[in-house]
Amino acid sequence: MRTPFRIMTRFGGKWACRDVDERLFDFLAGELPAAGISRVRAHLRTCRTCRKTLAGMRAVVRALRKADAESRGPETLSATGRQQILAAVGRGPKRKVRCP
Amino acid sequence: MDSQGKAVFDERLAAFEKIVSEYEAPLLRYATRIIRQYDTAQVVVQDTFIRLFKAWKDEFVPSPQLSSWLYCVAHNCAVDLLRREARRHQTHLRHAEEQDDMVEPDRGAGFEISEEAAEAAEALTTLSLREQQLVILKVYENKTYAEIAQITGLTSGNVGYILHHAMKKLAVAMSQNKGRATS
Repeated sequence: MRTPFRIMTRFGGKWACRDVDERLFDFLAGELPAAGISRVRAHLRTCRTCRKTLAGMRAVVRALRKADAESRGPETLSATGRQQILAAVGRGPKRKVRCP
Repeated sequence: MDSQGKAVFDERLAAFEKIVSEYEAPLLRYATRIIRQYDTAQVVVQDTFIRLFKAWKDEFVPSPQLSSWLYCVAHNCAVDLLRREARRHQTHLRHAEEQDDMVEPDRGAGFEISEEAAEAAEALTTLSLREQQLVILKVYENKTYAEIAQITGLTSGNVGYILHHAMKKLAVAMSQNKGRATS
């Protein structure tokens, strides 16, 4: 488990590499509170390793979004699918039962 | 059903159909990303809506709670299907080994993508289902940690922790692939 954010920011001051590393995706995802953003930015200015880790995560997000955009499927249910939903909830054509 | 009961049912059904129209696209995208097969994703989403109609006691009005509920049910349906598929595939593999004949599992048509994107998509499949779910909800669906927590039942802190490690694994896998490609 990682250190809770409120404890990390309790005493002020800079964050070490380990602190920044475990918050890098939060930073990238826009989920880091303002107090954390300024600390991460200050650290990134001087730490090449963390900059590299962040660049790696950015590349992953870009590639995943590209993969997704290139393989989009249908965004509506098929007509049969809709009919099956309506039939299951009690409306729509019931399957015909053929008498022998 | 008497005429009053029928009117109530018709009203509920009309509201339900609006919900289907509102959420079918995001749910189909989500299920397709988890299952990577268009036809099966359709079945998952159908099943999700049927469960919604039968289980949802409140009004059919778009809301964050309803959205989270739908994602959660769609995910569970997708995971059930994947597990069944995996069991079938295991049986198939055993059978193929006996015949000394390996057959690639059919992922469905339409997944031909560029090399870098394909590597990322492939790397995603090496993660656990939980990690994949969180990456999909965050990276593709742009959900906040709080929304993901509501869908998955995890805490926001846990969501961040799992996502962080999943992204690092993906970054390592992709840089290793790049290293192999350039050497």
